[in-house]
Amino acid sequence: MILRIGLVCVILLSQVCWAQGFFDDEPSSAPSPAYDMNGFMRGVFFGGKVIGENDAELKSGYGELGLKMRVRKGRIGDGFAEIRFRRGSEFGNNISDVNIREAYVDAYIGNIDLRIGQQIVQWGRADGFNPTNNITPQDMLARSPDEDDRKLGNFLIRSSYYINPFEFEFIWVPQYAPSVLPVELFPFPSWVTLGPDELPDARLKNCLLAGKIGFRLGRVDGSLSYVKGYMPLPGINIGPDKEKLLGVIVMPKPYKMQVFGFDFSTTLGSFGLRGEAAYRHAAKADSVYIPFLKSEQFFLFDYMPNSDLQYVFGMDRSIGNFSLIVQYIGRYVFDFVELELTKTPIDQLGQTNRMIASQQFEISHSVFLRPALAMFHETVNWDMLAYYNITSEEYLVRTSLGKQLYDALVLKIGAEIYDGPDDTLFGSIHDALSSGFIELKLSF
Amino acid sequence: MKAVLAIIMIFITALVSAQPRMTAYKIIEKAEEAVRVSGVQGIAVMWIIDEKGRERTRRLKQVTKLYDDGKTEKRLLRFIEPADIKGTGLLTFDYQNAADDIWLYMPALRKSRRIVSSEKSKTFMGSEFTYADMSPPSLSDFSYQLIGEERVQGVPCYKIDILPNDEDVAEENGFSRRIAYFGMEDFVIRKALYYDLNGEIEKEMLVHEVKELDTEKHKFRAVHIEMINVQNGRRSIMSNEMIEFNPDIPDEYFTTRFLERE
Repeated sequence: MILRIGLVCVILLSQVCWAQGFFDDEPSSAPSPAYDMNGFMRGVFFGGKVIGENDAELKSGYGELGLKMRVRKGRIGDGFAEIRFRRGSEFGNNISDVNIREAYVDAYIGNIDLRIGQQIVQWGRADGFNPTNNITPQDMLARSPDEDDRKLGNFLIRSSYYINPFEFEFIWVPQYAPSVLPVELFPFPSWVTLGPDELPDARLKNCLLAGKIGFRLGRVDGSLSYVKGYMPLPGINIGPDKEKLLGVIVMPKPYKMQVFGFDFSTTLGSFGLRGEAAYRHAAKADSVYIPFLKSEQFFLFDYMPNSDLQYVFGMDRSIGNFSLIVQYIGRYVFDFVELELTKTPIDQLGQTNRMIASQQFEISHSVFLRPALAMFHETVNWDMLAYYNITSEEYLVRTSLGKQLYDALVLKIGAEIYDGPDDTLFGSIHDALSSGFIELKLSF
Repeated sequence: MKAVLAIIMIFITALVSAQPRMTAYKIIEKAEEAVRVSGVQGIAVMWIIDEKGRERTRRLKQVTKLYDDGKTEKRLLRFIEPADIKGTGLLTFDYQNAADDIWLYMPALRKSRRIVSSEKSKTFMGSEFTYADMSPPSLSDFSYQLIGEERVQGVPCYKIDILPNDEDVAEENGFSRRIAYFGMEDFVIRKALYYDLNGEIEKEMLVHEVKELDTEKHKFRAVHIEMINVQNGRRSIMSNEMIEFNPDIPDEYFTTRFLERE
């Protein structure tokens, strides 16, 4: 029913009226529509390995219609919405979803831009891995050939003030929205039960505030940023299971942090240079002792990570139609204490939290490669993302080869492989999320 | 009195004959000056036609404006068709005596990205045009020789041989030699032959239509250009379905803020 109503609305809105667009108040002999609608239809199939077995299975298969509509009001403002209609199978379940991915309105008031609504925010100048990007949640279970589909919109108010060469940006997220974690795939002990997320309500004290000063000085673009509030990536908290005498329940629970960030990009000869760093300060005073197993005994259990410093430095180079991005990614965890996994089950859960937060080691080093090649006059495109954590030995390879059958009709095949030792994040999700895919997509 | 007049005539004749002949470099300078319009906005269509006659279409909007007494040209280019690249934009600050500043905005990345300007030999969106064809070259990177005069599509033209000063410039721009034909009256390019890095002729560019945009200062733009690849049989056509002279284009168009407004 929702699908039908959505489609009827879309058809009604597709009556095109004309006004001025890109050149707004400038004289123009070729008018642009006051609103335009485009999008895509696609069929996607993901196949992989049955968890713990050697059989192959359908991991995910769906047909999807994505509609994007932009309403333009010249230099005054505009509105944008993206709606996805998806039908198929995911993780063994039939799905029939309508998802309003983004829906917001912009107002341009002199040097001030104001955007209110459901939206995705992308901060950071590094490629693919952005320690300063802590506003938009991610869906780690999203199966899509398009990396952008992992980003989830959340409701927020965003305002920017421009005074050359600076840009001041402020964001207020009044209601917390968590990243989707593959909790079911984590190696919890058998005596724990998964519980519902513990989410903060919409009280003012639970909001997230962020500010950024962007600048362009000579050939260097950069920004300084600050974020305070609940991080999109939650930790795993524990509590007594009221239904089992000796059981405990685990559930995703967000935590507050302050993040001080910096990024830059520039060019040097034929090379592009980018860097990004963020210091995350954990408000450990908020940690609590949790009554455990309904006994008088209390355990200190931290579902929130330690303060840490993350840093990325990368270079990119293009030679003809081949391009390559190389990045180093590092992390230093403050006040790091080794956990003795054999000592207590609580330490085992603590290790899971460290795995989620990528804090299993005091210092970790990773490399990131993204080669891409456009062939046959850009009708065939290959790209790859390869990430290897030298310290934990986990890796991710995502690659795809797309053939443009005709303008806007693309057939794509590819694969994404996660792997690593059993006690690492990628090792845990290897069987469930590693897969090959085929996609046929028509854009309009 | 007659003697005085005769002396004056001789003096004038001498002055006229002493004026330097048009040199290749002067022609190139005038050619660059002829297309430096203080402000232009337009919608262009590009047809990419493969060797079997199959056609792909790109449609884009573009605005350009001169700054710093004409020493810097700022350009914003945004694709509006086809749907899979709609919203992709390119912002260029083209400096006369320095490397360009270029930012690329791709909707899927959700942010503009500063990119390197030296890869001008890269094909422009899969067409036979390159990024080097989209912006005026740095004059000091090449040497020029006037090798004759010819008519191109009925227009009398200067024929200039253009050679990159070194291998790096050749590689950066994607050709080892370029023979270009400039209209004798308006100095607008009418035709060019491109030689690949092995010295073989690779492409022929033909300008089918020229429009005078600024009638006061006599500034022009080639508005219908065909690039034929003689090696692989492909060709691309860039045609302006709308182009206007507008020196009052808002400065805010040439910002990453505007680039990111799809």
